[in-house]
Amino acid sequence: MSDVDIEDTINRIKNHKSVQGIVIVNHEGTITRTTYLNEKKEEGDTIAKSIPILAQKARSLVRDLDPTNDLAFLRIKSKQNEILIAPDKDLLLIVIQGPKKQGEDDQ
Amino acid sequence: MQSIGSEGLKAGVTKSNIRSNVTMQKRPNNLGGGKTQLGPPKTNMDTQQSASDNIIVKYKDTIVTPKELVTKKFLQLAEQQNREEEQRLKVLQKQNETKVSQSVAESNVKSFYQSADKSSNSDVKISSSNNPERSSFMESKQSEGTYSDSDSRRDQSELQEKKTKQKKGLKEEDLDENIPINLSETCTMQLLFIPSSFINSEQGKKTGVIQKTQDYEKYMVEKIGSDNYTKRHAQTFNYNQKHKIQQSNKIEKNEYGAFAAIWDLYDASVTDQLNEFELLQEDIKGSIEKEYKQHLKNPYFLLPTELEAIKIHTERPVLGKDYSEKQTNKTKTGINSNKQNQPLNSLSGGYTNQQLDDKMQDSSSSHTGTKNLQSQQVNIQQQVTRSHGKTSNPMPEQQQKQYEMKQDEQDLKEEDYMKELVKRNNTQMSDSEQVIFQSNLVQTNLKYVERILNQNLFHKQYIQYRNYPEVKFEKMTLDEDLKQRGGAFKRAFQNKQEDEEVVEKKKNEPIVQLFQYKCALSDQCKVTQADWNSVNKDLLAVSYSNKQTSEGHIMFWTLKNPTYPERIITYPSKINCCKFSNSQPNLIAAGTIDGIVAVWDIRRKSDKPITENKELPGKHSDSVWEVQWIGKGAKGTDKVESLVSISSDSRIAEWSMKKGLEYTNLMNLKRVVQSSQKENLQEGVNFRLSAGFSFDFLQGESSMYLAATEDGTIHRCSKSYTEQYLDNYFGHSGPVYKVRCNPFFSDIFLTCSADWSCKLWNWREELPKANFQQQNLQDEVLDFEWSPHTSTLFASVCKDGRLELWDLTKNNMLDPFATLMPQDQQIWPAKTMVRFAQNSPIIITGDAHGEVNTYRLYGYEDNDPLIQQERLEKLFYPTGYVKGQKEQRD
Repeated sequence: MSDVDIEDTINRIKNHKSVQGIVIVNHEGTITRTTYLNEKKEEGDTIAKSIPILAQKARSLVRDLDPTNDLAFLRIKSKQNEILIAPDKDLLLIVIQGPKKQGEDDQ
Repeated sequence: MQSIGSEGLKAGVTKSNIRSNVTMQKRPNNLGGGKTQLGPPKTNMDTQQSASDNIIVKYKDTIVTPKELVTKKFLQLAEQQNREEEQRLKVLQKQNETKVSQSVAESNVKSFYQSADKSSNSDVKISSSNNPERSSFMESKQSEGTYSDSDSRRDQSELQEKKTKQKKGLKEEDLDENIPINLSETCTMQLLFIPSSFINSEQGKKTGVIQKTQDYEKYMVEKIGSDNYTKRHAQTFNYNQKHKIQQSNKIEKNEYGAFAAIWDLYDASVTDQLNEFELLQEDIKGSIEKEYKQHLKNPYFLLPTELEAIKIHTERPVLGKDYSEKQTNKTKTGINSNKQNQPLNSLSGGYTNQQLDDKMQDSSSSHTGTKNLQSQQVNIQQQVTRSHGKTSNPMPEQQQKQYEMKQDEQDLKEEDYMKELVKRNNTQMSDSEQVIFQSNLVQTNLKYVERILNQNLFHKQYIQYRNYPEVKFEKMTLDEDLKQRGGAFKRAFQNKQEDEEVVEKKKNEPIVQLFQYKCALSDQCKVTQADWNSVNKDLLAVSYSNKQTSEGHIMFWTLKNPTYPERIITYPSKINCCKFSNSQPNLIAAGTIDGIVAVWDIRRKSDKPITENKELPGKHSDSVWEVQWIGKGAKGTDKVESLVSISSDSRIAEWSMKKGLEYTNLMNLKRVVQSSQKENLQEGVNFRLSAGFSFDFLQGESSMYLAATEDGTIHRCSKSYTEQYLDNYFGHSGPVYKVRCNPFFSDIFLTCSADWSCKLWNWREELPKANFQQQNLQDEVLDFEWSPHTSTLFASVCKDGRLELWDLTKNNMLDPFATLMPQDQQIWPAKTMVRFAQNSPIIITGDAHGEVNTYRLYGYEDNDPLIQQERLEKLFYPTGYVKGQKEQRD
């Protein structure tokens, strides 16, 4: 049952208005799920390669400051988009969110 | 001195003898006497004479040693001989060349002896007694001791002969000839000579030499067993070394670098504390499970397993599966019967499997997909046959019978199920993923992501929702502008261009839509009621009735994620109302159109209510329109709460949760007709029952409550009377949908009705104080609510989809100060519910299309609780109100 929830949630995230892409990487670095396909495959690959390193660094930082602590979430806001990184024991969930469109203000 | 030689011979002791006894002066030996060949006589003489060095000889008035003498003589003779030799050489050279040296040597010897004989005058005489010795070395020509001229001639002739012979070549005789070879010792070479020394004993004492020797002897004795000395062999010969070249395999090298951060150390220290045994257990468990899973796929797996176990291990989730499959009541057989009923691919508003496949390719599962398919197919066969073969297992009889019965049922189901499993294979995840995805962390992470996504989208709305003071980054002048206009407004976080507009907007429109709570499921539902949680003020429970499937849902929405509810509870019958308990915020009660009252504990994962009065006596026979939690003491303060429900079957019942759900009838709603109308009727109308739609308990008085009925009358009742009303309020011409007391001042209550109006009452007076009806409203008012912050404010919603905000202090109670209504040709769905938020100036409305809209209310941020009641009192009791004043009626 929880699997269904997970799948549902992943789908909802994927189909969210502002989401540009989602990549799920496992701890070895191989891509488990991705929406970067075909022409965007390279982009997805670079994401999958570089972001786990950053997440690891961030986690290391947090734990260096206090070993009982742990990284819960990492958010990188750039000019053009926002990268959301949710680390997990076995997986790394990466979501790229695009900018909010003007017309969405009042829904 | 004749025979010095003999004496020498006699005294020819060995060298060693001499040396030990007598000190000898070192004399340089005639090292030149290394002639091996024909030197023996000389050397013999030498040695012998050296042996007798001690004999002092007198010779020509000088004292010489015999050796010296001899040497002198030798020298003289040698000189003579040399001259003679030269002469002879010349002669001989003509004759014989080869044997020159030999013969010369011989001749030398001979001449020597000759000369020796000649010089027999001298004291030194070398006797022929040497001959026998000489002959011992030489085998032939013994007679050569005395050498005469005749001999020399003979020799010469011989030599000549030999020469001629030699010219011809060697004859056999020559081969047989004995060739004399002289071997002699070389001169003795002394390499090391440490002579002993002799000291007079007295002298020795002085110098301490004696002492030294004694010490040395002691030392030698001690040395034997002493530890200070060890025997050690030393090799003085180093054998020659040989270089050997060898080739071996290349030594593989691996470099490994590791880095330990602070937390690494911390982790290590923490894990050490854990019980090793437990860790081991876990490891073993994990590995066993893995193995088990793998073996299950193997068609030849022989262990008897329950079908459920197989299913669990081989089942994989389907992408985009229908949410409603969550609601499964598992039968005893362990198969979800619901699954059989619902078609797999029915997705509500989501995507079909095909579309999903197109949208997202999973690189890893595509490989394993086919494999799984095959294994699944095989597995299916096995599972089916296995189930048949299960009767061979020894089981208790009862179970077996049951089992067999169910087996038949199962078989059919199994086959269908298996087929479905196979179908599903295309979109399933691989095992490893499944394991990973099952972890709770993933769920929470996904949740976070979703929330954050939404946060980014609705950021501005959130800020408005929360009533945060928005910070403006741009102009500073505008701030001052705003201040001038009235500090009650919040400064906007807007672009420069929009600033003015927005400010204007706010002035005019106190209602601004923020966002909507809606999801795919809610699109097919109708919103019936909603309630905020008292503890988590962001949690909103909304009850829906599903138009398509005739089910009821309660969706729990949170501010953090407006796109999908945190939880969905599905119930088989449509839900009309829901309410959180005040004392126990995890409980939520709901009433359905079947007349069932159910209570859920939202901490539980199951969709099943903890209590419901489905089969209990006292169940309402018609829809339940409202439920409320009533505390037994002062309202809301007591921990013991009971449920009160009102329904169309004209009963108000109180349910206590102590044991199941026990009910007590509070009231039977009977129709009451206004006295003015009574005359027209002939029958005893008092006995007709009327449906009740709403009720509300009066604040501060737990036994008194108001009930609104379908007839349009509102009754004031008491808990102590189940048949009689305390009072009746007539005024509405249509069914009254809701009655509510003012949260600040419970003397005042409001009702809304299908007669397009709301009315305000004081329960002490029989006539309504005010009527709220907009001119252009031509539809029923379905719901209203008092604002929890402002005593004079309330909102109402109507069937034509409008939202009206009324303020008792404004507009003389004739018009709402704000209306949100469809423009011109727009047709909005009917709004069925309106609620105020407790922690922010927000109004939510629910409509018949399942949308829950959120509106921000501007202009009512100043809420001082103290003045609220005052305001009301002023309104209604201009002369002054004294608390505790008795009721005017009764």
